[in-house]
Amino acid sequence: MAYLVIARKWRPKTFSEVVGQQHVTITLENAIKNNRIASAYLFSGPRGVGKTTTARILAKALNCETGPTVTPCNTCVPCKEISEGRSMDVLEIDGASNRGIDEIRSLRESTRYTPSSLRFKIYIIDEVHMLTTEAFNALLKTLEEPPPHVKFIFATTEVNKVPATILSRCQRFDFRRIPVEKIVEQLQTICEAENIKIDREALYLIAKKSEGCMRDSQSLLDQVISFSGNEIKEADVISLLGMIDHDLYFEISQAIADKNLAELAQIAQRIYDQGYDTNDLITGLIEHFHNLLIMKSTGATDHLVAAQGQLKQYEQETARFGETDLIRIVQLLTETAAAIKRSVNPHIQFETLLFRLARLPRSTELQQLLDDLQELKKKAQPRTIVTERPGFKFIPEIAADRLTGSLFSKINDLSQKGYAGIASEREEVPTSGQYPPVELRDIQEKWPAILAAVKKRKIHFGALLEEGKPARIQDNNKLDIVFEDGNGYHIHTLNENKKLIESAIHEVVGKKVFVYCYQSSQIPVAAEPQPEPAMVAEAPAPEPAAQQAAPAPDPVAATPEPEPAPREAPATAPASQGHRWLEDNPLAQKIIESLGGEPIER
Amino acid sequence: MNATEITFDGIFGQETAKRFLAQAFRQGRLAHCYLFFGPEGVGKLATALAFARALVCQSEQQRPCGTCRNCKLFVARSHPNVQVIFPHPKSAKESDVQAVLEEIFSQPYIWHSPWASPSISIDEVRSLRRELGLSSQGGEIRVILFLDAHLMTAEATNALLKTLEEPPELTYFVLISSSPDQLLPTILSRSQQVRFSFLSVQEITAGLARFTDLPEDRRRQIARFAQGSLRRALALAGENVQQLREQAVELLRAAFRNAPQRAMHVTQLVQQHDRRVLMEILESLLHWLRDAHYLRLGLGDDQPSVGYEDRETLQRFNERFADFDFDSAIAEVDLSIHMLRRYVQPNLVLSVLLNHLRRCEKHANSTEKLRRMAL
Repeated sequence: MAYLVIARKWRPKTFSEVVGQQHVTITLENAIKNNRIASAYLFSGPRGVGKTTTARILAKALNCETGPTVTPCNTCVPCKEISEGRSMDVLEIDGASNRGIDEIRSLRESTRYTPSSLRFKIYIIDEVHMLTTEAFNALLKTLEEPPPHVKFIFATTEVNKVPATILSRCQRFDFRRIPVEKIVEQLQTICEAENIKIDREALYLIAKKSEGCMRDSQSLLDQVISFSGNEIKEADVISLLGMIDHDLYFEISQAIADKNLAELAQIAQRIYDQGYDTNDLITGLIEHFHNLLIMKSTGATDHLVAAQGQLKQYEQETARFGETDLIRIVQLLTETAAAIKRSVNPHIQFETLLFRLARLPRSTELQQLLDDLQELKKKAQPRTIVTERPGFKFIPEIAADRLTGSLFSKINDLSQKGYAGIASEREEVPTSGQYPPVELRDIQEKWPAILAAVKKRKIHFGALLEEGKPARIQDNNKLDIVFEDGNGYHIHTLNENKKLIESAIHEVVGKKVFVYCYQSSQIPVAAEPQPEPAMVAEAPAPEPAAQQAAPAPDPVAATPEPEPAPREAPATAPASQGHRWLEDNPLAQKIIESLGGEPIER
Repeated sequence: MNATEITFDGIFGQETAKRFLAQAFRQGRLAHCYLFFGPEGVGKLATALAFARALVCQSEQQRPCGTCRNCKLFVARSHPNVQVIFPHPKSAKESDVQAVLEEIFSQPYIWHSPWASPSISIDEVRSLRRELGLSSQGGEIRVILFLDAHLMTAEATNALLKTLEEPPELTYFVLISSSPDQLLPTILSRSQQVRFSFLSVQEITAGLARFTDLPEDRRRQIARFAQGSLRRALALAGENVQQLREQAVELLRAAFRNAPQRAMHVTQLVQQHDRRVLMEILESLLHWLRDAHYLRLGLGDDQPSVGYEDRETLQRFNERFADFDFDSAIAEVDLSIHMLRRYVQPNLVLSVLLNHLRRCEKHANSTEKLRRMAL
């Protein structure tokens, strides 16, 4: 005899062998025990969970020589006949191919006659949802009041296609999907009986893939056995069923975290070579990143849908992503899933998707960007903010300029260290006097060479510097470079990287120069420094002012009541004359120096 | 156990599938229903035919032997126990159906349905069931192949369910489908599923060598472009792939010209070519962009699916458009192909596409630019 597939060979023969449908089998058993058997049953549920099987067992239970019994003997003539499908009185009809009204009419005719040899005449109509409307309607009267010797059993996967009038005349049993553990147990039993060695992990994979359907799992088991013989490893199952090894997802997420495009390209090629289905892959990837996200936000592994062995891997992987990153990755994946489904070139699309995921800016980067934008915004509102107290005033453009970047921390340092700290820091900062003086003409003549030297160091800065002009030398070697208005980006970038320019100048001119860049409107014309209009202070009270300004990094917040610069207020003293109170107050000096302020005196 | 071996000659690639079937046969564990699934034109039909032939062959050693009565009958297409059911319209002429059947047997890699929307009807399944009710010719193995099984009507599929679950003895079914997700889950659960994957560039090149007399470099170029499908490669064999690539580059160039020139280019293209050719050009553009992207990343040299035969052009493009956003460009081209397939006006599709491609340069890496500005 030809080989019989497991699903057929292991078809249950008694109620107790039916796996995972206790709610159905127990009810049926009790009905038989109490002699309360309905005239029509409807079995519904997904494919391969035991509907047809239960129908046959019920037919045997009712007709067994020893019965009606809950345990058909499977040895008597009626049982055997029913099992082999050749009983005259148990008719198994394929609803899908005998779906017309004519078939149902002849069926109705035959119900009139008593069974030829058995107790009951039983009609099992499988795939009943395929009957035509007329056929269903022709059945209604018979179904409502059948002769006592007739029982109907309907089985269907699509109960929604069965008319309500039919449903209300039947006892309906909904078969459930079978839990993974139960499937594994059953497969284990089969394997033991068939003398097959198989890993428990492999059984799990099969059970999971079969989505709660016993027949699917048995077909898969059959398939695996015929592929690898009597000894089955987890890897065999993975390769045969075209399952995607979970390690692949981890490889992908690692490469994304590393932004390693070359690795991703190789993974994409491998996926192509192995013929994986891109839709499966995307679904798997979404699940994978979803797991990472859950892990990240709950900090626990309780809610993950993953095998025990992967939990550790998940824990490690989670650390490499931010929560918002994961959310965005999952979002992009779900959005692109549809596009890949309809794509003509799913593999190219999938590969592009991987690149895109790797290129997504990380949330930390975006935060930085937002902060920078905030600064930009402040810069865009030029307001002269003047401290009410005497002491000094800010030139906001310059202050904002200098504030971006590392100065926050510097000021914080200052406020913490207090005077003593500043005093010592000042000594470390070389004063300009220690270096030989530099001529402006010198710089101007050698400007092209300086530009070239800067470009050699970093071409980008060279290009920026080209826009500027060396404007003046102050205090022997402080070089001011002036830019046209609107070059805020140039100025900012160059001021951030002064050291590079200074070293380039040193290389060309041979002297130490301190560089600072300005917008041309920000500073007084180079030739004759003019005093800026300033608010007149009432009394020199430098200490409170300094203390107030120092701890707060934000210039706006530092000034209690900002006022517009009063243009009419005359300057009382030129800036260059020096301020006595300032000399006693190193903190104020430092603040002026770093924030671009200007001393005022009555 | 079975001492007999089966071999699959003339089938390109698909090692896993071939090994699986040979193993199942050797172990005497053949299932009564297989579903061969996988992309178009990768050899499902060819494998199924070879499998059917091996099953009916009478040799005790190596199957197919080519000498036994059954092998000869099979070659003559007159084996009574091998049936091929394929979708065709009800109104199709008997002679046409026979001609197609002949093509299926003789050129399984090239065959494609000549009808617009064929299907497998319930009548066909019913008559099959009637036949299966009788015993097979000579009491031998029977093999029934269903081509494009997903094109069965819902009624036909359901009518097949009971038969697939418990077929008569010595009867084997092979369902073939490139879209198994369109099949009923009840069908899937009754069959053993055999996955067929894309063919590699090398395998397609070998296939082209067998069926055409193209020179080696052309074969490789076509193979890269064929998306893993030998059928597609063979269909492309008659076309000038190089020219398609050049037209694709022309299209890309047009994207960066001024509006009237763009409109002109689109109009000319649409006038000169039909929808199918336009789709080929866009496919070509897709590959070209991918090649350029790989060149930019410096990755493609060991990738068989990437080709740099016009490296200079690729290079120049990358130099000129240093910020080009390949990711969205590729997505856009793909979407355009999809729309052409869905019969959206070619004029519209191409104009929109060109605009998008322009923007891929302008708005490239906007976060990157923002960052630079903000610093």
